Amino acid sequence: MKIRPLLLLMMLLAFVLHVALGEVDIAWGGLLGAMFTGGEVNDLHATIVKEVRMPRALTAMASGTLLGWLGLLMQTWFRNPLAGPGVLGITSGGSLGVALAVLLGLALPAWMAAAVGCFVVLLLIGVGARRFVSPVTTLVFGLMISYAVSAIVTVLQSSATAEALQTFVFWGMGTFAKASLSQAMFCVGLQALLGMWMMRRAKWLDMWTLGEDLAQTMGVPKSRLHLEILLLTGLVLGVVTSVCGPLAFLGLATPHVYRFFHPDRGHLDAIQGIGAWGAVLALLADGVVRFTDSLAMHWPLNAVLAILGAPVVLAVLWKRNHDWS
Amino acid sequence: MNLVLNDLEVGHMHPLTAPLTRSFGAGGMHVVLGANGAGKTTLLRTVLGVQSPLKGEVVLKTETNVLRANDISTWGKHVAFVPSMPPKHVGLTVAEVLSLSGPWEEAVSYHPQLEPWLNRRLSTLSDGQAQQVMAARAMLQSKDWLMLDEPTAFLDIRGQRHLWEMLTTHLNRGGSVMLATHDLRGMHRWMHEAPADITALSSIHQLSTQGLSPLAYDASLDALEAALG
Repeated sequence: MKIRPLLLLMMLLAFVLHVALGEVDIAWGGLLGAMFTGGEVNDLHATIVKEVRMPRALTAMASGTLLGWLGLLMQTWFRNPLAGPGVLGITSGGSLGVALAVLLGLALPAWMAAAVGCFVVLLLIGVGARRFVSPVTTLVFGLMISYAVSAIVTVLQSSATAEALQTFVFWGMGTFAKASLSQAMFCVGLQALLGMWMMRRAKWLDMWTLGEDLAQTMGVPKSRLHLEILLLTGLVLGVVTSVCGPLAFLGLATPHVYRFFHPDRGHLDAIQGIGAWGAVLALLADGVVRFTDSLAMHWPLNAVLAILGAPVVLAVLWKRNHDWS
Repeated sequence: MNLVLNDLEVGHMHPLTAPLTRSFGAGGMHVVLGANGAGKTTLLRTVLGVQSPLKGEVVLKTETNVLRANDISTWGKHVAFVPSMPPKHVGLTVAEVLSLSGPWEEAVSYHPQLEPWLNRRLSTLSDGQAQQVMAARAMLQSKDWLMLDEPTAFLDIRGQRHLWEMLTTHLNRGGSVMLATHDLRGMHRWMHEAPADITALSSIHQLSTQGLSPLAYDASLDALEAALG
């Protein structure tokens, strides 16, 4: 594996900028000085950094990385460049959970409802896993879950109060801003977990790209890999969706952005690159969100992600169309 | 090691052929012919351990040792697979693909035609080139048996010839080959040009609902066509 210092530096820079810049001008000199000398601290500034900016930046970074990795994982597993973490129907499950909680007025915080929804779908997949003999079956299953969920959500919406409807719509827009520091740290922990798992399984994933039968004859235990992918995807997606809402675009787009710059790489390199690119894209998009906030325009995160991401993916596909034709 | 089918029934739910009992000698080229749907691919997948037999078993045998397909990690060192279509959309380079199964230097030393492609992505090669890479990879994985499922189906004449030559190399190094094919002409020519000590260990079988029926390895092209038609 080649370490890519430039990519990691870019990620670090995006993170530092995200924390450093904002509406309130933080007196960084005094704040950082106080860390070493124990001097006088501007309480307001310290609170902003610790309770607002740090959790937000950490959540953006970790979610971007996690979704990028899940995108890679899904695209490899289904051998389909248009697969993304959403294809298993787990995000839809989260939407349904929140829709039920908010639109029916249950006393459950949105993030908890999303987590429950995600895990119910995961459980369904787990129960059916033995019958899903091929990735394609799983794909169709996810698609059907999505259809069913959006139908149920529409039914719920038709009889919901305007207030509840607004809450639900806002949740659907996605945000990195609602995470507490402990939720952010949990995401960072998951980042470490998924990263280690991906590195460990990089060779299996490489073999898997050669074909399902061939990979098995090369020693990839298909059902075990299948189970691990389902469990990890469900766990990660459940957590990210409950903390940030249903983030649609990052998972699909990040691997394409990475492959645009580094087409000829196996999974071990891709894990590092996609991890860094995912974080950068998420931080960048959230930067735009915060900028529009400062102009009192309040663009939703999902809209920014799509506006930034769609042209990028289109450009990538346009330039490399020979590869997927 | 000899490849032995013991009362083997292959298929999905229903057996495709009568139970197969046969031993394929180590060091030979064993060709399985048969109409589409006769079960050639299913037989290969069963031998590879990707699919479970409906009945019976596949074993590798020497005088002192018996290996079974259920121990997949050991089995993979003795039986490797070359599918008919080389994979598409693979981001790995040729060297990286080879390295999944062993040192690429070894593959290049036996198949020097691979050398110029080492740093190219597998998906940028032609089907004929990619198939040679896939065969070389399988030979790194197993020095023993190689299972090929219509490996020349998508190749032009030159690609076909290269592939047959690679199989000769594998056999000369003490390996064994089982091959399902419709390429009668290529197979017939190979049987006539290969070293006599290898063809003496080789066999041609026709797979049908009755099972595996042997044909003479030095049968004429007309005789082969007649048997299959």
